[in-house]
Amino acid sequence: MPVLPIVVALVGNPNAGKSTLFNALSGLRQHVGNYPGVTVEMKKGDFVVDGRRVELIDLPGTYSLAARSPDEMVAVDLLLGRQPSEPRPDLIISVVDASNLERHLYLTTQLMELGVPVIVALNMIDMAKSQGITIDAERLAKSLQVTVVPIQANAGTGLDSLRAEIVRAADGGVAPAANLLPEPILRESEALHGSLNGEIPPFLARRLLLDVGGYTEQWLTAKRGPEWHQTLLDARLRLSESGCPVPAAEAKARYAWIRAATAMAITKPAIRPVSTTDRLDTILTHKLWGTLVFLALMFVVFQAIFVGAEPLMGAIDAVTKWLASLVEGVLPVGPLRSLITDGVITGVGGVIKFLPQILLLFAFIAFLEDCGYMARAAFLMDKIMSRCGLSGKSFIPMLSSIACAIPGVMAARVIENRRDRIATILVAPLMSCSARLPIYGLMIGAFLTVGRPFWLKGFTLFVMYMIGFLVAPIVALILKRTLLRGATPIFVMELPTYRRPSLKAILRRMFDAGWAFVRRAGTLILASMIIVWALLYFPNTDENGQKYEERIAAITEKAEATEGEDAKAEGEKAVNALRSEWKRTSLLGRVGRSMEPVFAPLGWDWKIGVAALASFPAREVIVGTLGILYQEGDIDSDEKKDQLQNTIRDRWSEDPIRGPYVVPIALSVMVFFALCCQCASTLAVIRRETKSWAWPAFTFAYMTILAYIGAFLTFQIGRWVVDHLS
Amino acid sequence: MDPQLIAVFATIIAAGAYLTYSSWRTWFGKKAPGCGSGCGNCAKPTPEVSTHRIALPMIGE
Repeated sequence: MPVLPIVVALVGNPNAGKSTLFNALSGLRQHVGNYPGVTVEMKKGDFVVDGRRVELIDLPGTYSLAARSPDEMVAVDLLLGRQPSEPRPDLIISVVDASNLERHLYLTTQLMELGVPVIVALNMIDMAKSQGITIDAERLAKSLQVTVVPIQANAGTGLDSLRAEIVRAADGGVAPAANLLPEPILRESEALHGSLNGEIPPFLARRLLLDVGGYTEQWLTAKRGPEWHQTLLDARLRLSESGCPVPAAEAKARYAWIRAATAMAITKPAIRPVSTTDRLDTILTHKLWGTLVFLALMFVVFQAIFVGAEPLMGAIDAVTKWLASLVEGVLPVGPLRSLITDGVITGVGGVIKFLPQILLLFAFIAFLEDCGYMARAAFLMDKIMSRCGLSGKSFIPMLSSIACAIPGVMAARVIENRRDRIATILVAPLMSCSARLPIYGLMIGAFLTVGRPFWLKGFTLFVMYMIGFLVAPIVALILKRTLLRGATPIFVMELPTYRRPSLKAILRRMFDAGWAFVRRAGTLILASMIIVWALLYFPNTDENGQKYEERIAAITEKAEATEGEDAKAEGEKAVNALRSEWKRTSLLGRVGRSMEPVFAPLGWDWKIGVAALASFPAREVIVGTLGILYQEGDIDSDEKKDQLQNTIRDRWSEDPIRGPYVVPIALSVMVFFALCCQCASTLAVIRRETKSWAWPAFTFAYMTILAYIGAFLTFQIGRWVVDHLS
Repeated sequence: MDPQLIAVFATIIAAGAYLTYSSWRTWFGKKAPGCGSGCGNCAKPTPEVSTHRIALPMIGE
């Protein structure tokens, strides 16, 4: 008979070193578990000890088993064996931070009530030692009545002992007989369990009693109605009258037990030494200095994105031009040549050009997250968010949205209150994601770089990102005062210790981001550019039925045969006029011109308007569309002139009406893109997360209106400034 | 018919079909959609549940 694998769940507080231990034990052979309905990421891996296979399940970090959201409930259900697709763990490893033992043991005491053997993995013993803390593991094991194994997961210390203990505990381990809670709580929870006729296990009946507004309470109230809920409230009232008010009584009892259990096992200095993290935090979490450092850091990041990416962007541009000229040399004049050079190479190449900026952005994001700074930024923003009716918990999804709104929207799952969750989901797409970077880069490169102060480009990009940080809380405030009215939630956040970021992690993040960007450019953007090209190419004949391409070729040939610069310039002018007429009379050109009155208040002509319209499924399409629209002359002419940003700057400046207002127009385009929800994938995720079509429709509508108003105000104020102050 | 035009029409149809399929998959597909905008997580069905940011149990009264 085959021996069944030992199923082990790794549970611990966030930052306890759980994932490090998981990777050290499993050798990084992991895959992602996905549960239907509500999903939560659980890593799985396995390893073999003494011929026995051990299956490891790494659960998301949590401070307690008081499940408040569906995600947290999935983890509790798994530990109780209530997940149909997963076996109940044979053993739980409670990973605790030795330098912060008492707080980490809070969760351990709850795990000890699950009826499964528990091993305490005493991690980060090195850090504890550095703080002058010594722990007698044997004595601790005796007082906790569970196995305690000191380890240092990052160095692999103690892992052999842990592996041996896993096999020993799985074969003959017994569940700890934890009985920490006061008698009245145990009595009431037993009565509650009995009244539910075994619908939930005793552990959940206890959680039901202790977790005010918890997931089990919400679920059973919805199922059994308000009359049953009154039974629960009555039980809590009786507890309160007997001196065990909920939820304080649980925390009081557990911490009292932990203090007694650890008293003889731990020695620590009377005064906690001041660490580097403490010293840094006095500045970085300071209301004024912390905010100034945050703003300065963001400016440096955005300036560095421009400066650092410039050489590589130039190289990509050169390759694009070379490829286009290569195709022009091989293929005769015709629609296929135009599709490949104008649509594919110019369109997609124009987007790919921004890859270096994307890579740098993600390098900085990874650096700031890995070193622990992002948590400080969330802490600083918590004060602002709480004034808007949301907590710092809502800021985490917003910070994630700087990379991409999709993980940001999904990260809102950790918010237990439905109204707060929806409010967060609705404002998360306002944060400037990496897909907006190409249009910011193009506009700033065209209008705010040449002849401007060196800091202006970084500053403008910084302002564009700040728009999201400023508008999102305001929108959240309006939502919380109207559609999603509710009390401001309480949020307690742990600030991790600062550490040196891992170069491997940063490179990995850059590679993932870069690959995702290139893949998108090669699929969605490519297909979109082909459609946009077709809509700008057809009809390809003038009113007399003559093909535009043939007319252009004839003029070019004639100009080249003629000697003299003036004749050549005249020829080029005629070709550009013809190209312009062709684009204007194309299918997309006609649509754009018919909608020009809508775009006019924003300072846009029909070309900018259609480029913005074409980019509603995906933002980056605007860059490619502008590339096709402003494609002029031969590819192998002066490279400087061929650069899209230079062409756009020249064409816009030549416009007799809009010429003086090129900067307000560029700002208006950027503000529109900063506020508009031009991402079908984000809207689809909002539908999935809210289980409603109404919320994505609402998001699309409010963001589009907001973007229009924002772009309108930007242009009108900019125009006034140019007219009156310049 | 111009062979270039035939190739172009075939490409346009393929691009249109891809966009239709992609839109359908985004809105109605079983897998969570990915925007591929550079987050690098698009293939994953759920985001990393953020550490350090889960509410502590209420302690004290």
